[in-house]
Amino acid sequence: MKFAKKKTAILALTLVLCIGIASAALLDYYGRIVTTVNVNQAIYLDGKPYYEDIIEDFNGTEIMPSTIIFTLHYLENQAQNPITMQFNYIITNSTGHEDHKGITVTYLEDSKPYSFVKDYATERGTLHVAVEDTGDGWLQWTYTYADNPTHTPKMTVAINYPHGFCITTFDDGSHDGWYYAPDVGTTVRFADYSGGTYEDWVKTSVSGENGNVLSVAIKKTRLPNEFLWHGYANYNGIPVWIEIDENYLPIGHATIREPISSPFTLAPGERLDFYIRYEFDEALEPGEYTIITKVVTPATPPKYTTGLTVKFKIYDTATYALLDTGDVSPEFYVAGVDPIGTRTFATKPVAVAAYDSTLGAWTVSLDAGTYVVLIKKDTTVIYPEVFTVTVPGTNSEDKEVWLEPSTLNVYEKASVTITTALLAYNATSGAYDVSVSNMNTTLYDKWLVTLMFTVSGTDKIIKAGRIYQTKISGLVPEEYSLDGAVKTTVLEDTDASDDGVTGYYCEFEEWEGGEIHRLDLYFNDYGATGISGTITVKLFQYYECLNTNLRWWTDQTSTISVVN
Amino acid sequence: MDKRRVFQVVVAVLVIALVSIIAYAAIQYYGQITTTVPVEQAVWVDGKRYNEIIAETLSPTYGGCIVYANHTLENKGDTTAMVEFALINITDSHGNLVTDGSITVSWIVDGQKVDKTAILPHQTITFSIVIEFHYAIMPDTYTITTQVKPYVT
Repeated sequence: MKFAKKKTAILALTLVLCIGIASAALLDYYGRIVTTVNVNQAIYLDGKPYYEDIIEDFNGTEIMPSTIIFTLHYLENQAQNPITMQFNYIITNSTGHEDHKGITVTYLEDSKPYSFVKDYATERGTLHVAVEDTGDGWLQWTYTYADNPTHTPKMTVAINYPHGFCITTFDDGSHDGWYYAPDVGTTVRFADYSGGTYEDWVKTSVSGENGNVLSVAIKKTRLPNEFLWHGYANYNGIPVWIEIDENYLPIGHATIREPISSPFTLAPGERLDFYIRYEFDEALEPGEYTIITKVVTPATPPKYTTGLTVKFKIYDTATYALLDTGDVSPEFYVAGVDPIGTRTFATKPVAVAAYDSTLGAWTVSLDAGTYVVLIKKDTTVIYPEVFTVTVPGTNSEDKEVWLEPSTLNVYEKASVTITTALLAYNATSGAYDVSVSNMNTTLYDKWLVTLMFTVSGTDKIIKAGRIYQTKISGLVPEEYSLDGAVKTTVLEDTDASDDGVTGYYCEFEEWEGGEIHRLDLYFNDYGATGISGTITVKLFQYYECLNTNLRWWTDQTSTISVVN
Repeated sequence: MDKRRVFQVVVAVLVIALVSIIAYAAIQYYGQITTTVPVEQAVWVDGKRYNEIIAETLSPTYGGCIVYANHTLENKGDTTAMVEFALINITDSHGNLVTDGSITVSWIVDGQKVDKTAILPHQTITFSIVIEFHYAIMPDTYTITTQVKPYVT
């Protein structure tokens, strides 16, 4: 028996060895090829790779508001296939924050080269007028006098009269080589009759055997995308108006650039010369702005954009807990709706979310897009909150997406106690040092009312709002100081239709639990007597929220008696 | 047992032993031939053996482009050889594996995209490794390792 076992073991070992030898004897592969390729990017901007930034600082020139600047660049497709791309840009201000107010950026390409040819017959000869794109960034007007001029030829080209500018090269003794900017009344003489240049964007010339060919060339980057033009010539003493109507208004119409559609496609080897057009609004806040343009691959649209299951969470910043109870009601409205900013709001939500304990998140069925979501809680704990949110599309077959942002923070309302102290103005000492319990307009003329607001509630807040004071005729609030910030202009709200309150007010920013804030109000009756009444100071918190159905709290008040 | 009986047993044993010895002495074979044959691999890539790496550097190209690397396969055997093409890996200049689909590799034989092909006995065919780069690929130097393998059904 023992011998039999030994035999079996030896046989098995032999078989294993045989198989091993057989395996090692067969080739895994006949050959291995290692291919190395240096790959460059497909699209080049200004001939540069992606990591080389193209910096434009406008030659260090300060840009004035109401200015339009063009810069010229090009894109080139080095690939063998058409490539689709688009422009994206971001503007940041000197603090580094995104700020698109007052600056408009557009991307343009040259239109079909502008061309104009026309002969103007006069009793003393024919004037030939031609406008052409020279192909190197200039638009050139040429006036050719057919005959030898007996008078010195004259030439004017006006762009967008009467608000644009005008170039004159003619000579009548005083008008040779002028640049006019009629809208600002600027006139600059830059050349004599022999021709010349103005800055780097106007060129004029006089040529021909007898000086009978005049030209004005204007750099295209100084011309609007689309403009009206007209001209004037003097043919041996006869005025010739070019492209002008009976009211002497221009009718020459040129389009030299047009917006580039987005996204756009470049064929293999194709080059696109394009302009970045920066328009600085006249109301632009002065400062240093950085505008970054990127040429990017358009995002591929997601497969599913409708009937999505949208998930999100609600976070209570005071309790550090996610809210999943039924007394929270997240309502979704179409974008642009403001459910809290008006006193009456009757629009129905497009959807209301419910908590899904299996998924551990709030869910709602929506299509991709932008929405406004209102979160309100039935219990008097948290402020109602609105968010503008985005529902993205998805390629996932389960069609589940997270809301952007995925977590919505809500804030609990803190409580506030108000204490009031009054000091009357002591004419003798020249200070507010008389402690009083009311404002007696017979005894005093000026008062300092100090209100202290003690905010309670850890991690709770009082949302930014207004502190209103009842207006009493004859008693003028001259100045106020909130937490040391002095304001000499006291604001007044005279319209109760929008917010339900009127009176003098000062604004306050968000307060947090544990803080104490001080408001000093300076009143003056300017010697008037017989004034009486009650000044009610109301802490009208969360001024953004005026919807009466959502203002579940009572605004704290404090009263000051005015007697005589 | 009597002596006679003992004798008979001893004789029987001796007879058996004798027969056995005679049987063992018969020849088992008339001759033995040891043959040694040097065997080369059947299919050669670019005229090289399997353990000779074929390294090539293609001309610089751009994202969005397709490049071709041409090679030969020679079947030195007497039977048709089936081979399959395999991509082993793609690495960038830092040795990181590229698996995001930004580079696709395929093979072309006789103008057809294939992943395996047959080579007739004593025939040489050409094939191309086709490397396609996504138009938005990060510029870099990429190394693509491929193999030509025996196709086993």
